[in-house]
Amino acid sequence: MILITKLVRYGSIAAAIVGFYAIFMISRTQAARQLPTSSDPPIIPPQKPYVEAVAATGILEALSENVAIGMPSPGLVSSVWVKVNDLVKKDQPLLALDNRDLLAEQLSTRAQHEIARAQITVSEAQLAKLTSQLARLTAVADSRAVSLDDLENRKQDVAISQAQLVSAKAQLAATESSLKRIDLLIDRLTVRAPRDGSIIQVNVRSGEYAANTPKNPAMILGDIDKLQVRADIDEQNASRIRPGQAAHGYLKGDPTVTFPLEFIRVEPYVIPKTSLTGSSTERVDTRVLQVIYSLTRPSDPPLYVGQQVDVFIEAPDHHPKP
Amino acid sequence: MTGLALKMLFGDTAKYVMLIAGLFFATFLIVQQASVFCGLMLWTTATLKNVAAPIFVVEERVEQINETNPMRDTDVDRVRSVSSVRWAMPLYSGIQRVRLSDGSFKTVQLVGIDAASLAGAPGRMVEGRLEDLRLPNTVVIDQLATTRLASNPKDPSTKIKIGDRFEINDVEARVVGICEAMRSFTGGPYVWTTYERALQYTPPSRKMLSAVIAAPVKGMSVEEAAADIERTTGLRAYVNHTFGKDTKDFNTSTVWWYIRNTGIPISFGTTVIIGFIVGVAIACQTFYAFVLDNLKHLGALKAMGMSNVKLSMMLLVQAFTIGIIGFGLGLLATSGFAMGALKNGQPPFFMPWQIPVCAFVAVQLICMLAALLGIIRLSLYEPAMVFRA
Amino acid sequence: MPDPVPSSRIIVDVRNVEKSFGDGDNRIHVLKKIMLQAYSGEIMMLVGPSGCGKTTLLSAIAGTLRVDGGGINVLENQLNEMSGSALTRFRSRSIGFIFQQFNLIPTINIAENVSIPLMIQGVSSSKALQRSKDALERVGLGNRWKERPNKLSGGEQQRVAIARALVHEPPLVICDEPTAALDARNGEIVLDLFRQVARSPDRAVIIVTHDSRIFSYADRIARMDDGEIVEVHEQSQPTPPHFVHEHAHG
Repeated sequence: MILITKLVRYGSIAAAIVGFYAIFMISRTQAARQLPTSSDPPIIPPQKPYVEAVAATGILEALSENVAIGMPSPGLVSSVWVKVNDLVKKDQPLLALDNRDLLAEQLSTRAQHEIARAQITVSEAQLAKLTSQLARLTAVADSRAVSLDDLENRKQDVAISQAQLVSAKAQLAATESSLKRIDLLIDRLTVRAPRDGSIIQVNVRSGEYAANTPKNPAMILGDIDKLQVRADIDEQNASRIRPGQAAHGYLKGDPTVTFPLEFIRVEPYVIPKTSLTGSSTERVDTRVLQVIYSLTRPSDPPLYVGQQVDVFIEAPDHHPKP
Repeated sequence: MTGLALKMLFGDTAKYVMLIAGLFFATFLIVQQASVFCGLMLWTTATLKNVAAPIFVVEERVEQINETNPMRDTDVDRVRSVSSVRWAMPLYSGIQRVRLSDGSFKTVQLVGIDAASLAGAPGRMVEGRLEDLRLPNTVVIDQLATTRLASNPKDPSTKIKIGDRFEINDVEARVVGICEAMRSFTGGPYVWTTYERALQYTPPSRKMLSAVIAAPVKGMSVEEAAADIERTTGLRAYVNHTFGKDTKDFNTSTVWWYIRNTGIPISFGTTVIIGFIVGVAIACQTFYAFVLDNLKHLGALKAMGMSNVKLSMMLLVQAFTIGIIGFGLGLLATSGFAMGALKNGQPPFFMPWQIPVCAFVAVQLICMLAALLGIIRLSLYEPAMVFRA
Repeated sequence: MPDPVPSSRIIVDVRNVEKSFGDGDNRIHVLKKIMLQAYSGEIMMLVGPSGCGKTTLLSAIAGTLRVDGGGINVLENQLNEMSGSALTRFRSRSIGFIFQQFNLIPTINIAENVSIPLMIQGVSSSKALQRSKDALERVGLGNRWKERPNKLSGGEQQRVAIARALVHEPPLVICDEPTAALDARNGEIVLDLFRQVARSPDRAVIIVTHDSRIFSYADRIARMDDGEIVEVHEQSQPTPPHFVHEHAHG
């Protein structure tokens, strides 16, 4: 009995002490389990270069907009002379379309040209013969030996022959201009660079059929030494934008790549935002003001047209501090 | 005198055990239920703990993190345009379904974070590299997911490892990392991926941005920055510390939302109150019986010249002692429960220091109430009555 | 009134004490103008039939009951004029109690039980325990001090109660029916012992009893009936029961 009493007494006290200790340990364990509180992300996001700035998302484009090279006429591509990234001069041939139909036409026109030339020779010989016959008749002194009528006939023959020669010469000139026309048409099938620049994209290869669709140009020519950034600014921040504000760009994905931007212009028309994720489920739910900035392409690291850029534009806060 | 009081208390084993049992149950019910309640409430803020950003910017009427109203993508730029903001990144958070290799479905809490900065990434990686999240079709899962998404959760060999694949809404996901994370309220494991990929995993809808996470510029408090964001953008900016009095704290706001809108607090509160009542009933009744039993002796003490103050002190010492011991035993039982809960990750258990302190006060209140009854009974006992045996 | 002991002095002086319970028609006068003295060195018994008011008088003398009229002077203290807490303090220092039911606390050992009056006075527990062991020695239970009261017989328990009543050397000891819970033999043994250890030149002992077998242990016997002292016997040479002599009131 005494034993049980003592057991209950000291057992309960000991258990209570253990209980206090255990709950203390639980509390410690629990604290150790706590996840770290808010800290900076693993990679520090771009630091804002200005105290008051408007942030925007932009995309890199070639300066002075890209040229989609058009075809003179739809046709088979016979040869492509340039590759992507080639620097081209104005009028440098880029590609040629198939011109064999014109070459064939040239052949037959050349033959006609020869014929016309032979025709002239024939006409000249005929004229010489008739001219000499007329001269012999005119040389007979006795007018009774030559009938007047006969003399008149001879004179008319010579005039006809002269006219025939003129006609043959005109025929020759006609075939010659025909040849020139064919040369021009052949030359037209060679597409040349409209200006200096770089080939950004080539969408045709020789043997393919090149059609004239504006959405899918055969080649894109642009100037990639100088790039431009098209920045989308939420319409709610549009009122803070003024021409000439300084701006800074940060390459998306690598915030260490930064470059100053040079203001070019504000697009005067506010357009629906096209999501830059390139997703098929583009959400058109807000309108954005587009501002164009240019930048000199840094040599290292390389920038590519089409990359996304975080843009900060220095613009005063229009919400006054309280 | 204290020794006498304690000896009288411990001498009556049966009553002592009854008293201790009553207070033990009261303590256990109060502490354990309150901790489970706190644990459950903490689970509701799991996303806030797992995405440890100082400021959460959400749509203006959003009150809790698990039910956000999506915003437009450009809102990230708007937040970023606020002068007080050092950085701001998009966040996707939503419940999605995962299809396992055997064709069964499990729900997960999908979190999409900015791929470049990885802002909002899990705080503690267990295995793998966070940076691998930039590879195509990759995800980082929490430890719960390794068993939850396994083909046989009971079998450790089928645990999800790095390199394993599953499908989220029919899009492939490859595991590149395992991290520590707090369990979500819905019980689903957390799966991290990049924001863009989260949008691909998610069925398209018009707006997808759940929240913008942000940090204040150096030298500015998060509260000031949050106020700045609200004023400038008209969005709702919450700070992310911990549950407290601050209604601008997302944790507080979320927990209060659950308290207001669910029956959880009623259910747990009832149990806690019942625990208190059980404690009061058993402890007071037994202690009063204990006093009545000893009334003859206590009366003799009173006759022999022991003052009412000393007698009251004796009863208070006795009540306090059983309070301490019963409370300690209750804590022991709660610790046992807590160890299991912390080991398995469920049921929810979170015990802020206020719970044991409040429970201690409650238990001592019960004891003092019991002692008070005894004191009143004793003060009504005239010492002359001891002669009328 | 002759002094039983030459150097005796008045310990208790009860003058014209009145006490009644109840109201109006139900009012019962329990004590009616009681006059009584108790002297140091004597053992006085209050005897009488049940309901005669002897226990009420004892309670009043012990300072546990307030009277309606008259005055009780114990050791130069007017009990009527003392505050409740002063009265409590007075009881703890000056009076030893022996109850009918012994009233030992069952959950502590007998030495601790005996030390209670000392502890009430604030004596340190080690000193109190030593003195209570000495007191137990005097009642013949010195080697059993570790026992719990319920291990002891009734007589032994009352001996423990005697030790408790005397441990703080009070000048007045109050006994309420000390033998009522004991058989005749044990009662005699206890009273015999009690007379040996309690009777001292500095102490008055008042015993309330209706057990006529122990009357012989008294120096004086005050007989009460219906709230009045009807007679006081004086026994100049108190003797064991078989030598009891009845003396007429002088």
